[in-house]
Amino acid sequence: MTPVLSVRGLGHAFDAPGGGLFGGKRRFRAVDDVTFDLPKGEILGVVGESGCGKSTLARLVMRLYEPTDGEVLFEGNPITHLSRHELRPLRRYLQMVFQDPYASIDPRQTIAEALSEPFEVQRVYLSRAERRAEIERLLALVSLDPAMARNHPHHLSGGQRQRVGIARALALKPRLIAFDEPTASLDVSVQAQVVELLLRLRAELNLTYLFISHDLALVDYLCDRVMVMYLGRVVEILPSRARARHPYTRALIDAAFVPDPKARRTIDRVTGEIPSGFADLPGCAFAARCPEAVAECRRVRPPLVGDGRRAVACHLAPPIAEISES
Amino acid sequence: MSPLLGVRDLAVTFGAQRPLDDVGFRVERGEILGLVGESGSGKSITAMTVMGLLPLVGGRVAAGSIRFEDTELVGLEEPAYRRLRGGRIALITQNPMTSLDPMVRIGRQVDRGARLHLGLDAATARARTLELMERMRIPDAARVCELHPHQLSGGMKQRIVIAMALSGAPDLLIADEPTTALDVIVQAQIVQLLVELVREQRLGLVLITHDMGLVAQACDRVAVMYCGRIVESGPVDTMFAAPRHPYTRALTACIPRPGLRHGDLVGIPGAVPSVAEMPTGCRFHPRCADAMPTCRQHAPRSVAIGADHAVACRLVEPAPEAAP
Repeated sequence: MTPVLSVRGLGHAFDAPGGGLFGGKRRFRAVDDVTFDLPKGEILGVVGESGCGKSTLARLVMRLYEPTDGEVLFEGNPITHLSRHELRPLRRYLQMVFQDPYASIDPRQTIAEALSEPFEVQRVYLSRAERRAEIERLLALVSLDPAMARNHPHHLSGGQRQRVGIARALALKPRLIAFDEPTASLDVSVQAQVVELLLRLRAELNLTYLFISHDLALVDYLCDRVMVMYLGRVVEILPSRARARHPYTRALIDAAFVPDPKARRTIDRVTGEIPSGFADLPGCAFAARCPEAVAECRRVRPPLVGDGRRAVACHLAPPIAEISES
Repeated sequence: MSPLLGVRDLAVTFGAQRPLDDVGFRVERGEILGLVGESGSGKSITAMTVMGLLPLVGGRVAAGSIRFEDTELVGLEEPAYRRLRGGRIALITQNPMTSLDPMVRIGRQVDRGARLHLGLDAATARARTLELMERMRIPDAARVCELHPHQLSGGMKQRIVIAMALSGAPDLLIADEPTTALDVIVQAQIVQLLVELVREQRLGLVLITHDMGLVAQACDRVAVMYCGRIVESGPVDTMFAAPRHPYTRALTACIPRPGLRHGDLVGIPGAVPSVAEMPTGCRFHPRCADAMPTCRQHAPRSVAIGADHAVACRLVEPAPEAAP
């Protein structure tokens, strides 16, 4: 079956001023040669530290940013080179939900107005009765009280606002939704509600998600597979809860705080911080911080090797056959 | 012996609103107390109250006591507070840029604590600064001293802020979400440094956070806050293995962790109420699965139920007539 989303060698680079007053321009690669498939019904998590390019990747897929390299295919059809006009009918199938729902809803609009906007933008004509029915359907989908339609966003709690953001993304019956840290500004008790809502919606509406997050534990819980990014590159794609093969993935897992005082640990494998992405590194992007790096890692860029489900970009990674599954 | 910091029956008002009510906890030397709660629980107001910064935001202490060793901080005159603040009690904030002056070189900013509170001259203070920066594993400390804050990464700035807090040789550190803005690996590094500091120098640390994972990894004791009250407190192992307050239990069940299956993450219905709409009785009752009619009317008192373990919930309070 054709994947809902295929990404091939996708890149987003721009020139930034170089060092010093007369320094030449330097090429900054926010997203660098990213390739993956997202089959229908799957939730793919994208994790990495700030600046790794995960949000830029989501915006490239949605064509909110223009890629400088590579291609995005939606249900097998390339959409990278479509004009804005040609893209318009496809937009309804590709929706995005942002971290801060307050920033994506006009504070002067009522919730009903915010939820009817997608229909107006896509020029879907609805009678008043149909419109009311649609708003009721959408609010019910995200478990909000239909009476809320008359309210303004500031009357809603953060969790309720994010539900409205999700309802709006659902309005035109999308096939792929990209979420950019949708629960990062919510309290954990509300995050849990929203996460369970996303799972229910996927099952009911047969949706496919691209889920951007910095929270490895959350991604492990919610997603079917996880893609780990570092300095714009994909270092590993693996099924949730599978054993990590890339040293960076392992470092991320080791550094995450496990909510169990009996499982305390110290981390000192990986030191330092993410270098700025300016240097167009010849070798592995993680080599400078990697506790296992050898000379080859600094010289030769490791390709992403694996099958469609699972892949790793590391010279030292054991082949899949050799790792024991937990 | 009296604890390093002892807070009892503390209530704070902002006009007619009462964001803190009946708050009590203590911190010993060499101990890390986690003050945990969701937004609006009053954690940050607690930090500001202990630091004596409440008047700046228009609040006042309406009742209770805050004892720092033998000194009562409630009602302490500002000049006396100033000698303590930055000297014996230091605050680390979430956003390093609220503590750092963007116009002043790093070295001078870190020197200040030692010059002001320890009376060191410029050269001795700088030597102390370099030592503290190396202690915080800041590479090339002498060069970093000459930089301005914008030239440093977020993780580096947060290390500088901790070095600044240590500069006046404090006994008590209050850290308000000190690593929330940082990436996981840097976060783990900085938490590890803080824990080492507390143990080596026998500091008291109040670690304010919403992150139960951080609490589990770093704290000795935990106090859980909800809507301006402490609902449960106890040793970290007890609080995770056998939490008794319905809120603590529900909060623990909200955290994604290994071994969970889809549907296990239940969440807590509703949202934290705003300060203006505090529920009567137990403030958690509208969201509590076990609430009884009495919970709506009467605020529960905190009762000791085990070694160093206290809970404020009517369901846990042993009713006298029910005793066998």
